Amino acid sequence: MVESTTKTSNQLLIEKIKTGDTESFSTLYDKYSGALYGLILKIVKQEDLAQDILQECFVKIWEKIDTYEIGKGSLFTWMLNICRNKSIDSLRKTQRTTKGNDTMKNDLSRPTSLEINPDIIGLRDILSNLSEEKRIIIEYLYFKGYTQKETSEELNIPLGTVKTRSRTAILELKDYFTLILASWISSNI
Amino acid sequence: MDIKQYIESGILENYVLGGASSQEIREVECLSSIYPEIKTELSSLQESMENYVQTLAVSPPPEIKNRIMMQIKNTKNIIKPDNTSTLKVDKEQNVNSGTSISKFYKYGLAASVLLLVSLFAYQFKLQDTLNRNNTELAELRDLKELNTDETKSLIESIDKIKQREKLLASSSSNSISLAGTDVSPDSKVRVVWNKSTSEIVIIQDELPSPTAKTQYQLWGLVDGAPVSLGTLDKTELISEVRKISLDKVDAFAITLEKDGGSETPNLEQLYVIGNT
Repeated sequence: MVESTTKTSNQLLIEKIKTGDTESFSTLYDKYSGALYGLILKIVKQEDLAQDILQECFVKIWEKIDTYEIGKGSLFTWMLNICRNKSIDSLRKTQRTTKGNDTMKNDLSRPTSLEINPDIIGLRDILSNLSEEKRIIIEYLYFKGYTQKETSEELNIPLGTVKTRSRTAILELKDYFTLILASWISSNI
Repeated sequence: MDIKQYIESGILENYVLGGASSQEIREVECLSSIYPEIKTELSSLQESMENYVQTLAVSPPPEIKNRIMMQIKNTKNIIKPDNTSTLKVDKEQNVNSGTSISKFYKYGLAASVLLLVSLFAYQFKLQDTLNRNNTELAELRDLKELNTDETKSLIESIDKIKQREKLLASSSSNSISLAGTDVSPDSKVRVVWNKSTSEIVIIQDELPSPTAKTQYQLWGLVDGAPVSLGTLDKTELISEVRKISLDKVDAFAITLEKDGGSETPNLEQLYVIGNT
């Protein structure tokens, strides 16, 4: 129910944005900017840079909304891809200038100082249940933009293991959210 | 294809995590548009990532929104729809022209490919037709040559028949009857002779069929000496018109000779003879 209403409201939103309605775009921003900013920040790890990228991405979303087709996948995934690609491009550029294999490794071990959205406090505990090895795989593939082969070389684990872990990692994520949903329902009813 | 196996291969997860190659990306997008099971699985994986990213959400500073809203109002000359309608039209044209260019290329490319494919197909068809036409033409030529030959021989035959008729009908022609001898008493042959044109026709009214190794030969007797007037055709009972070089013939005689004829007649095989 919740999902279907989100989809329909998104459809309306997209249609309106396609006609150049800035009010609807403002709504879209309010709805997704947090998640997108969080993603960008997680990738590039610098607030100024992340804000610039966020701005660039939202302008791109505005410009390219015509190319988005509902049938091809969710709007959110489409926007995530835009933000992730731009962030990883930017990350690679800065890494090249700071020559930083060291920075990369430090980044990984450094605890993230990011605030957690208060709406989902408690989630982090659940996420931490995602075994470390799988979390790292997602970290490298999704947030660092490594290929499976690069990940296998960087972490010195067989390519086959990277493939299996990346598969099970998402499957586990799926299970966690079912769990979260269940706990949310039980605490709200 | 085995959809279950494809789903379990891990390619969808790699796609969702952004690690797929451009070829794999095309493959996943293509297959998910064909197979609803793949589409469902893919959506579910994407939803997981969406949910995961949601947990990382951080509110950006409020001034960012102002900056973005300012910028998009200046991008593409887009004006709020609640402004004047003329401006709205301007904006729409602008948007349309933007997409129409990319669409132009997209459809243009599609059309080019289609055109190329149809051209190939058309050329193939043309070649095929051409080949078939050539074959037919060759057959027709053969037929025509055949016809020409047949026609020629027909015309020749008709000419010969006309010649013969003319000779037979001519008032200046004489018919000389050659009667059977002791060798073949029942035999009977006529020689029609037109002295003025020196032409003759031989009519075999009754003559035994010659063997393969023998052939009848016509002689003209002039002052007691035989002069060969050629062999008789084995099948034609009425001969073609033939010219003879004799002005005066005392008698005509037919002997059975060896195949191809002889220089002197074999009188023991004299079949018919008749005085002029």
